[in-house]
Amino acid sequence: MNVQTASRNGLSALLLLGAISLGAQEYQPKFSLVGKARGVYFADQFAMADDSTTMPRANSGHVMADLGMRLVPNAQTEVLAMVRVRNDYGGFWGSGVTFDLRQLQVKGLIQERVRYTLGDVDYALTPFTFHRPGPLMAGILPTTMAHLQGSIAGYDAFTTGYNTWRQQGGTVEFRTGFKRGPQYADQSVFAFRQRAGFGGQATESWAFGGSSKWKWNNFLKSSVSPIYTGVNVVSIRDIAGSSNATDLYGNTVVTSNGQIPLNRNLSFSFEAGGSQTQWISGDRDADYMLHAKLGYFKGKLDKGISVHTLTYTEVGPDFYSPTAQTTPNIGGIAPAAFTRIGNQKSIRKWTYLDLFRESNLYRYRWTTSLGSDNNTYLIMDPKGQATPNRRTLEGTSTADLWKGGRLVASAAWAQEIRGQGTPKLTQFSRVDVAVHQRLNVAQGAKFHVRYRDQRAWRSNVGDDVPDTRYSLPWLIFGGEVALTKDQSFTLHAEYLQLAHSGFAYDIIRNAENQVIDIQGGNRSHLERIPSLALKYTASENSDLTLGWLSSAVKTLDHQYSIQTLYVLYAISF
Amino acid sequence: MQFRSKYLVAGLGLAFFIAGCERDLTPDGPSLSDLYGTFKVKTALESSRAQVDFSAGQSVYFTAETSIATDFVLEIKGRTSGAVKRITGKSRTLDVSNALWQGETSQFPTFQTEVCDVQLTFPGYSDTLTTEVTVTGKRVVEATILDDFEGGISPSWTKFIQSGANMQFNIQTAPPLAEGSKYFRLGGTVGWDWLIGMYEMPKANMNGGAGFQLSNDAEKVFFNGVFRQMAGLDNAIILLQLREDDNGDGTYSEGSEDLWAVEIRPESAWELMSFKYSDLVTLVNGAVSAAIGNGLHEPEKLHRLSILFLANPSSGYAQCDADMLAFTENAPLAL
Repeated sequence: MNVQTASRNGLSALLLLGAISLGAQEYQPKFSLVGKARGVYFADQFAMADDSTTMPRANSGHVMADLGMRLVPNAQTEVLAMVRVRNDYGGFWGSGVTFDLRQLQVKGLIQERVRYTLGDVDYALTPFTFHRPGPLMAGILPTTMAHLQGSIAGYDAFTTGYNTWRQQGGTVEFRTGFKRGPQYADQSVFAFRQRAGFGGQATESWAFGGSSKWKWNNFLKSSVSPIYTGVNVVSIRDIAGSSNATDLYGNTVVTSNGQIPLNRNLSFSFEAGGSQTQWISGDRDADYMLHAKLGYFKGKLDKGISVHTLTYTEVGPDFYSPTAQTTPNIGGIAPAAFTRIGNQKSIRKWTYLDLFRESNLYRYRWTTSLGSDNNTYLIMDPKGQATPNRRTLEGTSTADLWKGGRLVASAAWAQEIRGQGTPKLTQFSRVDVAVHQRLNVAQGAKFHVRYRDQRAWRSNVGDDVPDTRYSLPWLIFGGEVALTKDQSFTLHAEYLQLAHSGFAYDIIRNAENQVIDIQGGNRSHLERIPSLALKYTASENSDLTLGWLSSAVKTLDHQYSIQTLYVLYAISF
Repeated sequence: MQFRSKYLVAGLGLAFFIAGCERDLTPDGPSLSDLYGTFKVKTALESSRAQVDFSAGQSVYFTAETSIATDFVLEIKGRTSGAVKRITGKSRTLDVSNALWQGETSQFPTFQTEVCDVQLTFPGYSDTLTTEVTVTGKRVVEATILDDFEGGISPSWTKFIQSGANMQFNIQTAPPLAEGSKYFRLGGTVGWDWLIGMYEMPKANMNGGAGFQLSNDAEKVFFNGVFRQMAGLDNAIILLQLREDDNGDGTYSEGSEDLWAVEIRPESAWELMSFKYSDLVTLVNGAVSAAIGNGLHEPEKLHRLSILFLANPSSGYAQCDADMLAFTENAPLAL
């Protein structure tokens, strides 16, 4: 859209780039250094009854710096080249040193109106289109464990708090203003590439799309917040001729979303849309999704709040989006630490401890199929909010009910839309209760406890067909005590217990998301992670943690523990 | 208020419209009842016809039904020939899609005109279902047959046989048979050379000089043969060579035109072997090497087919039997 076209359409539009242009006016040094550095050392001890072959000790550590050279050659252009230098402890004389490129990006403004970014881009749309699902337990991990995950594996795997995806390609963004009707509209378009490879076996794939977000004066009630509406599009396309493949994969998702404040306390938000998928066999699938949320907010942040939401989500069994098909972790990969255990030298499956430390367990590229379900940690929505074949009703409440205390509770029920191997539908539930409390002991303390219960059930399928009875109880609690007045020294004690047990069916899919097998069996898994840590916070951007944590794992096949003493220093600049 | 209601009604209407769209709710994947239910035979084994004349293009299929999808083995055995056709699969029902018999054989010899016993078993379960069917006409082979040895060895072959000991290049009729009632034996001891004997079929001797008349699509052309080796021996090698006239001058030029080959080391039981033309390679002293000519698999340019019977000269007597040497198009030979 340009000015002339908009005017002809009676929209009296003009292009603005308020915030962007304003930013460009500020003083920008020609050269600056940004990035992150960390030093980490782990001393692991493995223990397993009757295991006489696994070496029980494994130590590892490195110091690493991501040096981002930010060059501003003129007011409209910025170049960022971030180089990673890493040295594994013990690798003297350069033998353990690696150099890598962490990020290369060019940003610029065209006539102070259109912003473009080329190179490595962190980008996200909505949870049903192009969005990187957060790591398992995002937002509910205890503090030091979250810090460990966020500073090591999560950081290396480019996870951010905004569900962005690190992609390579380009984006263009601009704002359109209007004299009447909507206040303005923010437009964003992107094109990202995944290259071909494997000697012509992997096809080059591109993701195209974007969003248009419109801000409106609230015509329902003029005194409350404005209305936002939007359209989101993502399309993944295999490129013909870039590999030996003659049949090509294609997936397009289009949704519209909006947020409509109904009055000062009540707001309604929604997202609805559809997807179309073209598989390499020539088969096609199409389906729709619907997500509606009613939210109630009362109070002030400094005097206590009360937030309640009610959400209904329906994602069709054939609704496929890159978001759902790209779960954050790779189920089948083995961890690098203590890869083989026991006298039988069986491959150890990764557990939550490994997710703290190993970035190779995280997925980077988008994938074109759902893969098989892994019920180790999730069963209700194993592919995130956009998990296909679910209708879900969820209520949440957050309330500051007493002094220094907050209660967070949620309850969700979900059901399959299309049965898996039977017309009987599996039911799911999730109940989550958490209490956060501030205490006036020592120099200040905080305490939190959370219990999450996830279940799946299905019965009366037929003669001799076992019922699904599966539960995943999680228990999390932790405390933090400040040792000094300035809160720079804090002591943390935390506990994480993840379990699942019962009879469940694993859904095995082929590359076109067709269910090719259903494997039922008894499951049992218990993972306990107690943790103690002393943390020194030197500034908002740097801290040093000395900690101990243990991971005790009990499955149907194995029972072992890994204890870890660690030192972690992290700084952002 | 009317203004608000309009939008709310419109929004709800859209939501109900979307939610009301029709979906395919046929359950995904294999039935859980099939995977985990109780096994029972629901319908007995039956054949779609009591008599079948394969020579007239007829076929026969078998039907049965069980309570769950399970592995099955359907075995058809000729009472006179002893030929066996085996069909395996996993299903709840047997029908024309998974239990069709067009007269072919799994275990040689081939079927004659005879009564056949049919048996259906389910691995892991004791139930056995039976029926019978009578073959009134044998299957017609759709192939470019080089030789089936039923009328002796074809005069179209040119041969070279070493003057070794106990040389056996002759027609045999002793059972067990493969296809028909005769097959060809290659055997002998040559202490000074790997080559014991060689048979060649030049283009000029095929179809009255018209050549092999094969498709130009190497992906669709198959060379087929039924082979076995004398029990207790493992030294015999049948080397199949196909020479192409790349430049179309009517002759094969050694060292400049393509020579495709495959080594066959038969087992002691008759086995039908099929080789896709495009899978053939160039062999030099048994090792895969670069193509000699233009490197293109061009069946329509086949100039000469050679069958070399080889054995290590120090390994003593070697013996193989061969039957039904043929080219097929689009699919391997089915006997």
